[in-house]
Amino acid sequence: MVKLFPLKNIFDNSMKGAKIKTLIWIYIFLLPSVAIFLSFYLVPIVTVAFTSFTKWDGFNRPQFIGLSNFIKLFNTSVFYESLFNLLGWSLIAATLHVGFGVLVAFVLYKKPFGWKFTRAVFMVPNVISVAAWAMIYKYFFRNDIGILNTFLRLFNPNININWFFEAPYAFWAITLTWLFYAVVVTLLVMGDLMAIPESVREGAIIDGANALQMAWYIDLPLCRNAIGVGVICSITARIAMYEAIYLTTNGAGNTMNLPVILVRSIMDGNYGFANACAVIMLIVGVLTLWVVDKAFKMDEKIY
Amino acid sequence: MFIEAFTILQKLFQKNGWSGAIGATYPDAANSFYANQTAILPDGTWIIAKILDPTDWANGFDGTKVVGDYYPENVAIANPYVYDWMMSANITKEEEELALAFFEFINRPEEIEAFILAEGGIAPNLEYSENFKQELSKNKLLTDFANNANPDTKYVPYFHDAINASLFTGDFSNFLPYLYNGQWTPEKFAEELTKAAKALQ
Repeated sequence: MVKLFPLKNIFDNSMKGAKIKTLIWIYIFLLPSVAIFLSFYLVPIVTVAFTSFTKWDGFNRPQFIGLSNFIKLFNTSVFYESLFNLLGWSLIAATLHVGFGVLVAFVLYKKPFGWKFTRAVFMVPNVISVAAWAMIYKYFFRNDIGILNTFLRLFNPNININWFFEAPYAFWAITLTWLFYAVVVTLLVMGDLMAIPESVREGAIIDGANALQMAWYIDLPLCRNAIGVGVICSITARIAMYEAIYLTTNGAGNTMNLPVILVRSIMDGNYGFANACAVIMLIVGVLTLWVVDKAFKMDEKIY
Repeated sequence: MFIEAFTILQKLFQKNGWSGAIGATYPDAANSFYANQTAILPDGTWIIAKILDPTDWANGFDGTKVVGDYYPENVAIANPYVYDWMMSANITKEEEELALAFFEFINRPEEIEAFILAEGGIAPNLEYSENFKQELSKNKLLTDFANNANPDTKYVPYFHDAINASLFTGDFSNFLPYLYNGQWTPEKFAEELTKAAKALQ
Protein backbone atom coordinates (compact mmCIF):
# COMPACT_ATOMS: atom_id res chain seq x y z
CA MET A 1 0.00 0.00 0.00
CA VAL A 2 1.36 3.37 -0.95
CA LYS A 3 1.29 5.97 1.78
CA LEU A 4 0.25 9.34 0.49
CA PHE A 5 1.50 12.50 2.14
CA PRO A 6 -1.03 15.23 2.24
CA LEU A 7 0.02 18.13 -0.07
CA LYS A 8 -0.49 20.62 2.78
CA ASN A 9 2.25 18.97 4.91
CA ILE A 10 4.79 19.08 2.09
CA PHE A 11 3.98 22.74 1.52
CA ASP A 12 4.26 23.57 5.26
CA ASN A 13 7.62 21.81 5.57
CA SER A 14 9.12 23.61 2.58
CA MET A 15 7.81 26.93 3.98
CA LYS A 16 9.46 26.19 7.33
CA GLY A 17 12.77 25.42 5.59
CA ALA A 18 12.60 28.65 3.62
CA LYS A 19 11.83 30.58 6.77
CA ILE A 20 14.83 29.11 8.61
CA LYS A 21 17.04 29.82 5.60
CA THR A 22 15.84 33.41 5.51
CA LEU A 23 16.44 33.76 9.24
CA ILE A 24 19.99 32.41 8.88
CA TRP A 25 20.73 34.93 6.15
CA ILE A 26 19.25 37.73 8.22
CA TYR A 27 21.57 36.88 11.11
CA ILE A 28 24.59 36.52 8.79
CA PHE A 29 23.95 39.99 7.40
CA LEU A 30 23.40 41.36 10.89
CA LEU A 31 26.63 39.86 12.20
CA PRO A 32 29.05 42.61 11.00
CA SER A 33 26.82 45.32 12.46
CA VAL A 34 26.51 43.45 15.76
CA ALA A 35 30.28 42.89 15.90
CA ILE A 36 30.99 46.58 15.19
CA PHE A 37 28.35 47.65 17.71
CA LEU A 38 29.82 45.41 20.41
CA SER A 39 33.44 46.43 19.85
CA PHE A 40 33.11 50.11 19.01
CA TYR A 41 29.95 51.12 20.90
CA LEU A 42 28.92 48.72 23.65
CA VAL A 43 32.40 48.15 25.12
CA PRO A 44 33.21 51.91 25.24
CA ILE A 45 29.74 52.63 26.67
CA VAL A 46 30.26 50.04 29.43
CA THR A 47 33.77 51.43 30.09
CA VAL A 48 32.39 54.98 30.28
CA ALA A 49 29.61 53.90 32.65
CA PHE A 50 32.03 51.98 34.87
CA THR A 51 34.75 54.66 35.01
CA SER A 52 32.19 57.39 35.75
CA PHE A 53 32.20 56.00 39.30
CA THR A 54 35.97 56.25 39.54
CA LYS A 55 38.76 58.75 39.87
CA TRP A 56 40.76 58.16 36.69
CA ASP A 57 43.50 60.11 34.98
CA GLY A 58 43.41 57.97 31.83
CA PHE A 59 46.76 56.30 32.58
CA ASN A 60 46.72 54.81 36.05
CA ARG A 61 44.26 52.28 37.46
CA PRO A 62 40.83 53.84 38.13
CA GLN A 63 39.92 54.18 41.82
CA PHE A 64 36.30 53.62 42.78
CA ILE A 65 34.81 56.75 44.39
CA GLY A 66 31.09 55.99 44.19
CA LEU A 67 28.84 58.84 43.11
CA SER A 68 31.40 61.59 43.81
CA ASN A 69 31.79 62.56 40.13
CA PHE A 70 28.04 62.90 39.72
CA ILE A 71 27.66 64.85 42.98
CA LYS A 72 30.45 67.18 41.88
CA LEU A 73 28.80 67.61 38.47
CA PHE A 74 25.41 68.35 40.04
CA ASN A 75 27.03 70.97 42.28
CA THR A 76 28.47 73.01 39.42
CA SER A 77 26.56 75.93 37.98
CA VAL A 78 27.78 75.19 34.44
CA PHE A 79 25.97 71.85 34.55
CA TYR A 80 22.61 73.56 35.05
CA GLU A 81 23.55 76.21 32.49
CA SER A 82 24.28 73.35 30.05
CA LEU A 83 20.99 71.57 30.81
CA PHE A 84 19.06 74.81 30.42
CA ASN A 85 20.75 75.49 27.07
CA LEU A 86 20.10 71.92 25.95
CA LEU A 87 16.44 72.25 26.83
CA GLY A 88 16.20 75.52 24.90
CA TRP A 89 18.09 74.20 21.86
CA SER A 90 16.08 70.94 21.91
CA LEU A 91 12.78 72.82 21.89
CA ILE A 92 13.96 75.02 19.04
CA ALA A 93 15.31 71.98 17.17
CA ALA A 94 12.08 69.98 17.60
CA THR A 95 9.84 72.85 16.52
CA LEU A 96 11.45 75.51 14.32
CA HIS A 97 14.32 73.45 12.89
CA VAL A 98 12.27 70.33 12.13
CA GLY A 99 9.28 72.47 11.12
CA PHE A 100 11.42 74.31 8.57
CA GLY A 101 12.80 71.02 7.22
CA VAL A 102 9.26 69.60 6.85
CA LEU A 103 8.05 72.78 5.15
CA VAL A 104 10.89 72.63 2.62
CA ALA A 105 10.15 68.94 1.99
CA PHE A 106 6.46 69.69 1.31
CA VAL A 107 7.39 72.52 -1.05
CA LEU A 108 10.03 70.48 -2.90
CA TYR A 109 7.63 67.53 -3.20
CA LYS A 110 5.33 69.71 -5.28
CA LYS A 111 8.29 70.14 -7.68
CA PRO A 112 7.90 73.87 -8.31
CA PHE A 113 10.15 75.66 -10.80
CA GLY A 114 13.80 75.38 -9.68
CA TRP A 115 13.13 72.68 -7.07
CA LYS A 116 16.20 70.65 -8.05
CA PHE A 117 18.45 73.70 -7.73
CA THR A 118 16.88 74.58 -4.36
CA ARG A 119 17.37 71.02 -3.13
CA ALA A 120 21.05 71.14 -4.12
CA VAL A 121 21.56 74.52 -2.45
CA PHE A 122 19.77 73.29 0.66
CA MET A 123 22.21 70.36 0.75
CA VAL A 124 25.36 72.53 0.49
CA PRO A 125 25.74 73.42 4.22
CA ASN A 126 25.83 69.70 5.01
CA VAL A 127 28.89 69.12 2.84
CA ILE A 128 30.80 72.07 4.33
CA SER A 129 32.82 71.16 7.40
CA VAL A 130 31.65 72.52 10.74
CA ALA A 131 35.05 74.21 11.15
CA ALA A 132 34.57 76.15 7.91
CA TRP A 133 31.10 77.44 8.59
CA ALA A 134 31.99 78.19 12.21
CA MET A 135 34.62 80.56 10.82
CA ILE A 136 32.07 82.08 8.44
CA TYR A 137 29.67 82.72 11.31
CA LYS A 138 32.47 84.04 13.49
CA TYR A 139 33.08 86.75 10.93
CA PHE A 140 29.37 87.28 10.34
CA PHE A 141 28.82 87.99 14.04
CA ARG A 142 32.06 89.86 14.73
CA ASN A 143 31.59 93.11 16.61
CA ASP A 144 33.97 95.33 14.64
CA ILE A 145 33.70 94.19 11.02
CA GLY A 146 30.89 91.60 11.16
CA ILE A 147 28.19 91.84 8.49
CA LEU A 148 25.39 91.88 11.08
CA ASN A 149 26.75 94.74 13.18
CA THR A 150 27.79 96.68 10.06
CA PHE A 151 24.18 96.42 8.84
CA LEU A 152 22.72 97.34 12.25
CA ARG A 153 25.04 100.36 12.47
CA LEU A 154 23.24 101.80 9.44
CA PHE A 155 20.30 102.36 11.81
CA ASN A 156 22.18 102.80 15.09
CA PRO A 157 25.88 103.75 14.80
CA ASN A 158 26.40 103.00 18.50
CA ILE A 159 25.63 99.28 18.20
CA ASN A 160 28.38 97.42 20.01
CA ILE A 161 27.43 93.78 20.49
CA ASN A 162 29.78 90.82 20.77
CA TRP A 163 27.19 88.34 19.55
CA PHE A 164 29.20 85.23 20.34
CA PHE A 165 30.60 86.35 23.69
CA GLU A 166 27.84 88.12 25.58
CA ALA A 167 24.64 86.75 27.10
CA PRO A 168 21.86 86.54 26.00
CA TYR A 169 22.98 87.11 22.39
CA ALA A 170 25.42 84.18 22.31
CA PHE A 171 22.64 81.59 22.75
CA TRP A 172 20.79 82.93 19.71
CA ALA A 173 23.97 83.39 17.67
CA ILE A 174 24.81 79.71 18.24
CA THR A 175 21.21 78.76 17.39
CA LEU A 176 21.42 80.57 14.06
CA THR A 177 24.48 78.53 13.07
CA TRP A 178 22.32 75.38 12.71
CA LEU A 179 18.68 76.45 12.75
CA PHE A 180 18.10 76.48 8.98
CA TYR A 181 20.34 73.54 8.07
CA ALA A 182 17.52 71.01 8.12
CA VAL A 183 18.31 69.00 5.02
CA VAL A 184 18.35 65.68 6.92
CA VAL A 185 14.76 66.28 8.04
CA THR A 186 13.80 67.33 4.52
CA LEU A 187 15.24 64.18 2.94
CA LEU A 188 13.57 61.94 5.53
CA VAL A 189 10.18 63.56 5.03
CA MET A 190 10.50 63.58 1.23
CA GLY A 191 11.14 59.84 1.38
CA ASP A 192 7.91 59.29 3.30
CA LEU A 193 5.98 61.69 1.06
CA MET A 194 7.04 59.71 -2.00
CA ALA A 195 5.93 56.48 -0.34
CA ILE A 196 2.32 57.62 0.14
CA PRO A 197 0.12 55.56 -2.22
CA GLU A 198 -1.52 57.61 -4.97
CA SER A 199 -4.84 55.94 -4.19
CA VAL A 200 -4.95 57.70 -0.81
CA ARG A 201 -4.57 61.11 -2.46
CA GLU A 202 -7.03 60.23 -5.22
CA GLY A 203 -9.58 59.28 -2.58
CA ALA A 204 -9.08 62.62 -0.86
CA ILE A 205 -9.49 64.50 -4.15
CA ILE A 206 -12.73 62.64 -4.85
CA ASP A 207 -13.89 63.63 -1.34
CA GLY A 208 -13.20 67.27 -2.28
CA ALA A 209 -10.11 67.94 -0.15
CA ASN A 210 -8.08 71.00 -1.14
CA ALA A 211 -4.24 71.14 -1.19
CA LEU A 212 -3.99 72.47 2.36
CA GLN A 213 -6.37 69.85 3.73
CA MET A 214 -4.43 67.11 1.89
CA ALA A 215 -1.16 68.32 3.42
CA TRP A 216 -2.64 68.62 6.92
CA TYR A 217 -4.87 65.55 7.10
CA ILE A 218 -3.04 63.10 4.82
CA ASP A 219 0.60 63.96 4.13
CA LEU A 220 1.57 65.19 7.59
CA PRO A 221 0.12 62.24 9.57
CA LEU A 222 1.56 59.76 7.08
CA CYS A 223 5.03 61.33 7.50
CA ARG A 224 4.80 60.91 11.27
CA ASN A 225 7.68 58.45 11.45
CA ALA A 226 10.04 60.54 9.31
CA ILE A 227 9.26 63.64 11.35
CA GLY A 228 9.84 61.65 14.56
CA VAL A 229 13.20 60.44 13.28
CA GLY A 230 13.99 64.04 12.27
CA VAL A 231 13.20 65.25 15.79
CA ILE A 232 15.40 62.53 17.29
CA CYS A 233 18.29 63.37 14.93
CA SER A 234 17.96 67.09 15.64
CA ILE A 235 17.81 66.77 19.42
CA THR A 236 20.62 64.21 19.65
CA ALA A 237 22.74 66.49 17.46
CA ARG A 238 22.16 69.24 20.06
CA ILE A 239 23.13 66.88 22.89
CA ALA A 240 26.41 66.08 21.11
CA MET A 241 27.01 69.61 19.74
CA TYR A 242 30.65 70.40 20.45
CA GLU A 243 32.51 71.81 17.43
CA ALA A 244 29.95 74.56 16.77
CA ILE A 245 30.39 75.85 20.33
CA TYR A 246 34.12 75.26 20.68
CA LEU A 247 34.90 77.08 17.43
CA THR A 248 32.64 80.06 18.11
CA THR A 249 31.84 80.95 21.72
CA ASN A 250 33.84 78.25 23.51
CA GLY A 251 31.16 78.44 26.18
CA ALA A 252 31.27 82.23 26.63
CA GLY A 253 28.07 84.23 27.03
CA ASN A 254 26.36 81.40 28.96
CA THR A 255 26.56 78.90 26.08
CA MET A 256 28.08 76.00 27.98
CA ASN A 257 26.89 72.52 27.14
CA LEU A 258 27.65 68.98 28.29
CA PRO A 259 30.23 68.06 25.59
CA VAL A 260 32.23 71.22 26.40
CA ILE A 261 32.29 70.25 30.10
CA LEU A 262 33.34 66.74 29.06
CA VAL A 263 36.24 67.89 26.87
CA ARG A 264 37.45 70.39 29.47
CA SER A 265 37.52 67.61 32.06
CA ILE A 266 39.63 65.49 29.72
CA MET A 267 42.00 68.45 29.29
CA ASP A 268 42.45 68.41 33.06
CA GLY A 269 43.14 64.65 32.97
CA ASN A 270 39.90 64.05 34.85
CA TYR A 271 38.51 61.13 32.85
CA GLY A 272 36.20 59.86 35.59
CA PHE A 273 34.40 63.20 35.80
CA ALA A 274 34.31 63.47 32.00
CA ASN A 275 32.69 60.05 31.80
CA ALA A 276 30.12 61.01 34.45
CA CYS A 277 29.20 63.82 32.08
CA ALA A 278 29.06 61.32 29.20
CA VAL A 279 26.71 59.09 31.20
CA ILE A 280 24.36 62.04 31.72
CA MET A 281 24.50 62.74 27.96
CA LEU A 282 23.69 59.09 27.29
CA ILE A 283 20.73 59.15 29.68
CA VAL A 284 19.41 62.36 28.12
CA GLY A 285 19.83 60.80 24.65
CA VAL A 286 17.98 57.60 25.59
CA LEU A 287 15.22 59.64 27.28
CA THR A 288 14.87 61.69 24.11
CA LEU A 289 14.50 58.52 22.06
CA TRP A 290 11.85 57.18 24.40
CA VAL A 291 9.83 60.42 24.65
CA VAL A 292 9.88 61.09 20.89
CA ASP A 293 9.07 57.46 20.15
CA LYS A 294 5.99 57.68 22.39
CA ALA A 295 4.98 61.17 21.23
CA PHE A 296 5.08 60.20 17.55
CA LYS A 297 3.74 56.68 18.17
CA MET A 298 6.66 55.39 16.14
CA ASP A 299 6.14 51.78 17.21
CA GLU A 300 2.67 51.73 15.64
CA LYS A 301 2.03 50.87 12.00
CA ILE A 302 1.02 53.77 9.78
CA TYR A 303 -0.55 51.87 6.90
CA MET B 1 49.29 89.53 42.47
CA PHE B 2 46.56 88.12 40.19
CA ILE B 3 44.28 91.10 40.81
CA GLU B 4 47.17 93.38 39.92
CA ALA B 5 47.76 91.39 36.71
CA PHE B 6 44.07 91.53 35.80
CA THR B 7 44.07 95.28 36.41
CA ILE B 8 46.96 95.69 33.95
CA LEU B 9 45.17 93.42 31.47
CA GLN B 10 41.95 95.44 31.73
CA LYS B 11 43.79 98.75 31.41
CA LEU B 12 45.82 97.53 28.43
CA PHE B 13 42.71 96.37 26.63
CA GLN B 14 40.59 99.41 27.38
CA LYS B 15 43.38 101.82 26.42
CA ASN B 16 45.02 100.06 23.50
CA GLY B 17 42.98 96.95 22.75
CA TRP B 18 42.15 95.95 19.21
CA SER B 19 38.44 96.26 18.44
CA GLY B 20 38.22 92.60 17.49
CA ALA B 21 40.08 91.32 20.53
CA ILE B 22 37.04 89.91 22.35
CA GLY B 23 36.80 86.26 21.46
CA ALA B 24 39.83 86.46 19.19
CA THR B 25 42.03 83.41 18.91
CA TYR B 26 45.74 83.47 18.10
CA PRO B 27 45.22 83.39 14.29
CA ASP B 28 42.87 86.41 14.58
CA ALA B 29 45.49 88.34 16.58
CA ALA B 30 48.29 87.35 14.20
CA ASN B 31 46.24 88.26 11.12
CA SER B 32 45.44 91.70 12.48
CA PHE B 33 49.11 92.24 13.30
CA TYR B 34 50.29 91.18 9.82
CA ALA B 35 47.58 93.40 8.31
CA ASN B 36 48.86 96.49 10.17
CA GLN B 37 45.72 96.65 12.34
CA THR B 38 47.48 96.20 15.67
CA ALA B 39 50.80 97.49 16.98
CA ILE B 40 51.73 94.65 19.33
CA LEU B 41 51.58 90.87 18.97
CA PRO B 42 52.43 88.98 22.15
CA ASP B 43 54.35 85.95 20.95
CA GLY B 44 57.56 83.97 21.19
CA THR B 45 60.76 84.15 19.20
CA TRP B 46 59.77 81.08 17.17
CA ILE B 47 57.47 83.37 15.17
CA ILE B 48 60.34 85.48 13.81
CA ALA B 49 60.68 83.53 10.53
CA LYS B 50 56.96 84.03 9.86
CA ILE B 51 57.14 87.76 10.62
CA LEU B 52 59.92 88.11 8.06
CA ASP B 53 57.99 86.17 5.40
CA PRO B 54 56.58 88.82 2.97
CA THR B 55 53.81 86.51 1.72
CA ASP B 56 51.94 87.13 5.00
CA TRP B 57 52.17 90.94 4.84
CA ALA B 58 49.18 93.15 4.01
CA ASN B 59 48.09 96.82 4.23
CA GLY B 60 51.65 98.10 4.11
CA PHE B 61 52.95 95.86 6.90
CA ASP B 62 56.71 95.42 6.74
CA GLY B 63 58.16 92.63 8.89
CA THR B 64 61.66 94.07 8.72
CA LYS B 65 60.44 97.09 10.73
CA VAL B 66 59.15 94.96 13.61
CA VAL B 67 61.10 95.24 16.84
CA GLY B 68 61.22 92.70 19.65
CA ASP B 69 61.18 93.42 23.36
CA TYR B 70 60.16 92.04 26.74
CA TYR B 71 56.96 93.99 27.33
CA PRO B 72 55.65 95.24 29.67
CA GLU B 73 58.28 95.94 32.28
CA ASN B 74 61.01 93.56 31.09
CA VAL B 75 59.04 90.44 31.93
CA ALA B 76 59.55 87.27 29.89
CA ILE B 77 57.24 84.28 29.96
CA ALA B 78 58.94 80.93 30.34
CA ASN B 79 57.28 78.44 28.04
CA PRO B 80 58.21 74.88 29.04
CA TYR B 81 56.34 73.40 26.07
CA VAL B 82 58.94 74.81 23.71
CA TYR B 83 62.20 74.35 25.59
CA ASP B 84 61.69 71.74 28.30
CA TRP B 85 62.05 68.00 28.02
CA MET B 86 60.65 65.50 30.47
CA MET B 87 61.62 61.99 31.40
CA SER B 88 59.03 59.49 32.54
CA ALA B 89 59.44 58.15 36.11
CA ASN B 90 58.80 54.55 35.10
CA ILE B 91 61.61 53.90 32.63
CA THR B 92 64.37 51.30 32.73
CA LYS B 93 67.95 52.11 33.72
CA GLU B 94 69.02 51.73 30.10
CA GLU B 95 66.30 54.09 28.86
CA GLU B 96 67.29 56.59 31.56
CA GLU B 97 70.93 56.50 30.46
CA LEU B 98 69.90 56.99 26.84
CA ALA B 99 67.65 59.90 27.76
CA LEU B 100 70.39 61.56 29.81
CA ALA B 101 72.85 61.13 26.95
CA PHE B 102 70.31 62.73 24.62
CA PHE B 103 69.77 65.66 27.01
CA GLU B 104 73.51 66.12 27.27
CA PHE B 105 73.76 66.13 23.48
CA ILE B 106 71.02 68.69 22.86
CA ASN B 107 72.35 70.95 25.61
CA ARG B 108 75.85 71.30 24.21
CA PRO B 109 76.66 75.01 23.63
CA GLU B 110 76.80 74.59 19.84
CA GLU B 111 73.41 72.80 19.83
CA ILE B 112 71.82 75.54 21.95
CA GLU B 113 73.26 78.22 19.68
CA ALA B 114 72.02 76.36 16.59
CA PHE B 115 68.58 76.03 18.20
CA ILE B 116 68.42 79.75 19.01
CA LEU B 117 69.39 80.65 15.46
CA ALA B 118 66.71 78.34 14.07
CA GLU B 119 63.88 78.87 16.57
CA GLY B 120 64.79 81.95 18.55
CA GLY B 121 65.14 82.31 22.30
CA ILE B 122 67.90 83.19 24.71
CA ALA B 123 70.37 81.31 26.91
CA PRO B 124 71.25 83.75 29.73
CA ASN B 125 73.81 81.42 31.33
CA LEU B 126 75.70 80.62 28.14
CA GLU B 127 78.69 82.53 26.90
CA TYR B 128 77.94 82.92 23.20
CA SER B 129 80.64 82.09 20.63
CA GLU B 130 81.89 84.74 18.19
CA ASN B 131 80.50 82.78 15.28
CA PHE B 132 77.06 82.71 16.93
CA LYS B 133 77.11 86.45 17.61
CA GLN B 134 78.01 87.07 13.99
CA GLU B 135 75.16 84.85 12.76
CA LEU B 136 72.76 86.40 15.27
CA SER B 137 73.51 89.93 14.06
CA LYS B 138 72.13 88.96 10.63
CA ASN B 139 68.64 88.64 12.16
CA LYS B 140 67.48 91.91 13.71
CA LEU B 141 64.59 90.46 15.71
CA LEU B 142 66.72 87.67 17.18
CA THR B 143 69.33 90.25 18.11
CA ASP B 144 66.63 92.41 19.75
CA PHE B 145 65.59 89.58 22.03
CA ALA B 146 69.16 88.52 22.79
CA ASN B 147 70.31 92.06 23.56
CA ASN B 148 67.24 93.14 25.53
CA ALA B 149 67.45 90.22 27.93
CA ASN B 150 69.49 91.40 30.89
CA PRO B 151 70.03 90.40 34.53
CA ASP B 152 66.92 92.42 35.45
CA THR B 153 64.68 90.47 33.11
CA LYS B 154 62.05 88.65 35.13
CA TYR B 155 61.04 85.16 33.99
CA VAL B 156 57.52 84.23 34.99
CA PRO B 157 55.66 80.96 34.45
CA TYR B 158 53.17 80.81 31.63
CA PHE B 159 49.72 81.48 33.12
CA HIS B 160 48.47 78.41 31.28
CA ASP B 161 50.81 76.28 33.40
CA ALA B 162 49.91 78.01 36.63
CA ILE B 163 46.25 77.03 36.49
CA ASN B 164 44.20 74.08 35.21
CA ALA B 165 44.17 73.69 31.42
CA SER B 166 40.37 73.90 31.29
CA LEU B 167 40.35 76.94 33.56
CA PHE B 168 42.71 78.75 31.20
CA THR B 169 41.21 77.81 27.85
CA GLY B 170 37.66 77.74 29.22
CA ASP B 171 36.58 79.93 32.11
CA PHE B 172 39.42 82.45 31.89
CA SER B 173 38.75 83.22 28.23
CA ASN B 174 34.98 83.08 28.76
CA PHE B 175 35.19 85.67 31.55
CA LEU B 176 37.51 88.04 29.67
CA PRO B 177 34.72 89.91 27.82
CA TYR B 178 33.25 90.96 31.20
CA LEU B 179 36.66 92.27 32.31
CA TYR B 180 37.30 94.02 29.01
CA ASN B 181 33.94 95.78 28.76
CA GLY B 182 34.19 96.91 32.39
CA GLN B 183 31.18 94.86 33.51
CA TRP B 184 33.47 93.14 36.03
CA THR B 185 36.21 94.70 38.13
CA PRO B 186 39.56 92.87 38.34
CA GLU B 187 38.50 91.79 41.87
CA LYS B 188 35.22 90.34 40.60
CA PHE B 189 37.10 88.64 37.72
CA ALA B 190 39.51 87.02 40.21
CA GLU B 191 36.59 86.01 42.45
CA GLU B 192 34.72 84.31 39.58
CA LEU B 193 37.88 82.57 38.43
CA THR B 194 38.45 81.32 41.99
CA LYS B 195 34.88 80.01 42.08
CA ALA B 196 35.43 78.17 38.79
CA ALA B 197 38.72 76.76 40.08
CA LYS B 198 37.06 75.53 43.29
CA ALA B 199 34.38 73.77 41.24
CA LEU B 200 37.16 71.71 39.63
CA GLN B 201 38.48 70.43 42.95
